[in-house]
Amino acid sequence: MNIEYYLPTNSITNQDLAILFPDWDYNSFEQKIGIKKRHIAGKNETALDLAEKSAKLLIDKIDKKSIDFLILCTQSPDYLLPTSACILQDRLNLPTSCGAIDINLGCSGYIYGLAIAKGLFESKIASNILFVVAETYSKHIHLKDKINRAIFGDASAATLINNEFQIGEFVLGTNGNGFDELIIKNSGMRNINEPCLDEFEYSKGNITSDSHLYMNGPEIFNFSVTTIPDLVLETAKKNNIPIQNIDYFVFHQANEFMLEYLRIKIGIPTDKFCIDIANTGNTVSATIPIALKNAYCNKKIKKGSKIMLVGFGVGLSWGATIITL
Amino acid sequence: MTSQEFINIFSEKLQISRTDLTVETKLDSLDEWDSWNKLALMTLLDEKFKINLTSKELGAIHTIKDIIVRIGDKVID
Repeated sequence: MNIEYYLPTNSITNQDLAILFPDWDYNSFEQKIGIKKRHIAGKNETALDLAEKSAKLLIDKIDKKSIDFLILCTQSPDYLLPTSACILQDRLNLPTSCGAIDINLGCSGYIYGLAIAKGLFESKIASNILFVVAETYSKHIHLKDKINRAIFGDASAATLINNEFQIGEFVLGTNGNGFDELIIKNSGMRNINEPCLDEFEYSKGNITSDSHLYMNGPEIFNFSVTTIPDLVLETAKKNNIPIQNIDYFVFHQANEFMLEYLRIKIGIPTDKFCIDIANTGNTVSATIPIALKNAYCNKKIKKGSKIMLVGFGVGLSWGATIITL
Repeated sequence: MTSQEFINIFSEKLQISRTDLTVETKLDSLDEWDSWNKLALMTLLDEKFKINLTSKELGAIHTIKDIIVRIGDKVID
């Protein structure tokens, strides 16, 4: 399978977090949310460094000259400019004839990257596309933000897109009205002149600031449970595949509580539904390719499997497709 | 459903250890009223009453009575 992933060597267990937050009931968290540990990038290790590692694992097996397009999905770029994908092209020694772009999306990013790659392939703009997702939300999260430190992990994953697996029809969607439900307010130009630097408590015992990640958990949950069931049904319909004929479902691994609720609401059997979050946490755009790779290695999916991929999150943004291995 | 029946399913869903809950109980006084149990309340209202609670509505809920008012006439004594 043309996917490889990389996890930073440092990891933080729930027991480690319980030392930092003595009032935290990590047993209850582990039981409900399903996360046991998450990997965290080193102080000087960026998403670009992680991207390079996963990409090298993948392309070291092939002729690099054959790669004619590079897409990097990240919300943790090294610089606002230049584009991280341009730096990655050089680090990977890809040919200078290779196109390179960044896409800035979070938990829906893998689906959108596949959609762009499919468009590039089918229009014959490119024939061998390296698509890398890399994220280090740990660098965006306030040190006193217990809940987000427990949920998110850092990772990267690289996928090679040519004609090895078939990418079906997409259903995509956006609701920018919810832009401030998951946001780092002081991360761009909007508040550059009057940034608010004060810490604030946004939920019992969770502290953040406008220079760090803020997530309105209940609103993101509400968005997910109201949007995703219809998205799944529409995607099956658009691909002309009855939902019971889909072999496996890989949703963005947000947290087990939400995934299990969505699974029951949609009516997907447990043996067809991927839950793979215990050892990595929510790695944003990297959860789907990591789960796909693990499912393939664990023989839950194989050549010919029809797999629905579903991404949703920051934006608000969502998308789904069906791939056939 | 009566208020007491709602209190019982609320207490069971959120795994609340206290047994003296009333409609007036302040949710902030419960150890179990954390981020995840707020989501558990949202799933309870969706499953039982087909109500998708927004975060704004959730923010306005301080007691079990507030939840019952939001549910409307499906919980009556």
